[in-house]
Amino acid sequence: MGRGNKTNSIRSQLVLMTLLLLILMTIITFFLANSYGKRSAQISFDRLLTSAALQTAESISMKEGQVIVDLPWSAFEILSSAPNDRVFYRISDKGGNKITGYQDLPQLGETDRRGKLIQQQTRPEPRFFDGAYQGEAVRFVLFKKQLTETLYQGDVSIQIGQTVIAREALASEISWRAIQLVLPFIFIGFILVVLGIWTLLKPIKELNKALSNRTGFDLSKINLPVPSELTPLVQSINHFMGQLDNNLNQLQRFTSEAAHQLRTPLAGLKSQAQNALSEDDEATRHAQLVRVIESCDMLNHTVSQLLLQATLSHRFQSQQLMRINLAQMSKKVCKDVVVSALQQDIEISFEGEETFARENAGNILGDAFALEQMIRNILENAIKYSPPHSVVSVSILSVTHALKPMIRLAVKDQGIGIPDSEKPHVFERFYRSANNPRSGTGLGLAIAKEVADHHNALLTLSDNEPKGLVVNLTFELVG
Amino acid sequence: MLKARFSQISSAMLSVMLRAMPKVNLKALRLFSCALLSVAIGVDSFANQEAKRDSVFLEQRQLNIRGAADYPEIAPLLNAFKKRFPNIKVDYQELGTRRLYERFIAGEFTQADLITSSAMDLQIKLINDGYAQSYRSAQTSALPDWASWRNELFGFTYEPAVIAYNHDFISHNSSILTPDLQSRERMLEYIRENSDRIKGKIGTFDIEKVGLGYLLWSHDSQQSTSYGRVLESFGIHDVQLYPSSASMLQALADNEIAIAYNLLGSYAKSWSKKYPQIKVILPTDYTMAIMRTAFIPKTAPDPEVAKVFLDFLISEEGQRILAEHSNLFPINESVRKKYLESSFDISNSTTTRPIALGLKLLVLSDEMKRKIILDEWSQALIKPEKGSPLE
Repeated sequence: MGRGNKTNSIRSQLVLMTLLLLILMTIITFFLANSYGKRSAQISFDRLLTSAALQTAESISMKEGQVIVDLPWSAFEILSSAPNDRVFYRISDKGGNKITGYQDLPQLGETDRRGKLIQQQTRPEPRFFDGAYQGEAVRFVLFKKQLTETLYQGDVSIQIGQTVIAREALASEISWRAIQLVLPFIFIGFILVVLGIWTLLKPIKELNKALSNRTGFDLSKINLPVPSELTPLVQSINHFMGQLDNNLNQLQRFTSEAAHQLRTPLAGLKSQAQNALSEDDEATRHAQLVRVIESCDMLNHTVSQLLLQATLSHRFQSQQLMRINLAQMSKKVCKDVVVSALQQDIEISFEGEETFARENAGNILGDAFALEQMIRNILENAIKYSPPHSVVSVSILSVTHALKPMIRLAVKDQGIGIPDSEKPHVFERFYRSANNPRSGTGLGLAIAKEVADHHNALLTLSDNEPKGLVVNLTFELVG
Repeated sequence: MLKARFSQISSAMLSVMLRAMPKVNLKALRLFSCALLSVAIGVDSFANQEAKRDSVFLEQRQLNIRGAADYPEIAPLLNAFKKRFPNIKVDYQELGTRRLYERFIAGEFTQADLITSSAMDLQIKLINDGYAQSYRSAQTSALPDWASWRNELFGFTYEPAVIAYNHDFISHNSSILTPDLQSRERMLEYIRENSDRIKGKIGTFDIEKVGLGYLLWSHDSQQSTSYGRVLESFGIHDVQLYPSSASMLQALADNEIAIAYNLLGSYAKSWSKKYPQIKVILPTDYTMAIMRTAFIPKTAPDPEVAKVFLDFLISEEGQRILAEHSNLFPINESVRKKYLESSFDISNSTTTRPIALGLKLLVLSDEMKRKIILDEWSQALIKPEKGSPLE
């Protein structure tokens, strides 16, 4: 199943297992019934043999110094309960000489299965053994009667054997009865189990039916009665579908917003270009064309931000997080932007590197490209909103958040800042503050927020003194 | 993956089972396979049987019977058989029951296909000692339970043991016109009342010599109510012993004896037809019936022919021939009723009790038991004659 080349139905496996189990049970039952039947038959027929032997023992007497056996009719009448079995008997004296009966019957010592030496018995007790006589299986009883006459002292052995036809017939009859008794239960059990399996698996079938009957757009929750074992699965499916629904909604919103964001500047561009086309005044037309180019740049920025976001969301799905030294990376980004900042008469200060100068200190888990883009976005944002001759300060701090040592990147500018009422909204895509005089895509902080979320980092905004914005990024440290 | 694990488990289970099985019940398995095998063989042999049976009707075959029945009694049946199966030559040799038994044991009858005898005890002994082969057919299955044993020994006649008396002697000398000897009790009463006259006038089998006499007498000895008194009475009245039915009936007809005890009803009846003074009684207290029995020896050279004969013997046709043309009473109840009901005055109070074929008869062939019965017999009957102090 793991390889997925062949899927087995749970039902057929359960049924198969039950079937195997029941077959095993049946076989065990067969053997048990067999041995039970044998035992019962053995006991019953051994009793017959015993009473025949005891009656024969009763008929032993002494007459003129000789042992006389007046073979009792009743003994043979008892043995006749096995109507088709032959009987062999032998009565012998203490010396083992035959008194009457069959001369050459097998002896107990020869055929005793246990192989024990037969000891002299103190108490007269019938002993049984299996033997073969005239090529047939015979069950023998050996009973010793002690005579204490003046002329004869010692045992008289009575050995009676009977063939085992009736014995085996009874044994198989009993075992067959036992099997007949048990088999229906096994059979009913099997049917019940199969029914049970069917009933148990029904919810799965219905769940499957409900899912497969859905259209691709139906992401509503599954509302089916399922057994408790399936509830987590249904919950997971519902949760997953909820997420999927959410993502789809976001995507939809994003697409429409993006379309809107692209269409608006395009419309502007078009009208500016048209204006320029119909403008006769050279200077005005020049100014108009400059604005067209600015709009193009602006549009270009928006598009690249959109692409960046797409790239990032792709990377988040595919790239593994790696160890990154946040201080070094921040410093590198600062270096990258410092020239363009200086062109706008803005200085960038970087501090706090010493705190994490040690080897392996200040490492976080992250995606290098995404982090770099995020820091760059934040920095560029800060530069963009900074008044000329001001300083954007970048600092790396060690903080403790939620009782854990963390690393924080703080970017402070001296711009107009963001009023508290708008702070929650600036992370939304394409959000543009009404009082924001600068052009922008409205994507920078949104992307930063996304990257921060992906890195489990805390992105907060606060006000700088006396004015301006502080963007704080707090990461978990890794050792 | 799951499936792979599963099949591993199940195969492990199977191998454990297979490994355990021979230990647990190899014998049962063997028995089982034997049973299967024998079923297969049985089917096969059934077909074979048919084929063999067909050839019995076509080829020249020989049937050798060694029997204890007088040839004249069995001859009508043999003739009918020969007429029916002209291709089968029948050889019948007649012997006394004891002699037949002894010679069979001695291995002299390896050529015999069928052994028939009226000595049920000896026949049972032969069956018990494994000398016979079994045979089943529609005919043998139709026999009552008591008339067959192990599907090896089959009764084919049903002959009550009767008391016969010389009517001339009894009625002439009796105080009452028609003496009532219907039961042993009455017979003993009669003997007591006519003690002097009846002395030396009672006859029965010499049980030392006649197997049938031994069989009947030993069964009498189990009837504790009358046996002792019968024995005593016979002893006192100098019972005469006869070596055969014929000699006893002759003596009865000749008025040498007045009462013959334990005769076979079939013989007695035929003699009473010849000699009207002989009257036959089925004792009302109990009437034993003996069977003549037949078996196919394991050594039979042509058991198929023997089976055909056996089937014929106990078939309705064979039984009717016995009933019509001989003095042997058939075992088949409907035939017996049809032809023989009239021959005996079987009143409602009389029930004949067959001596059933079975293990019980094995007791009689025990040498020591025989000695005990014979000793008792001779002590009661013969010693007084010798003038022992017991008299």
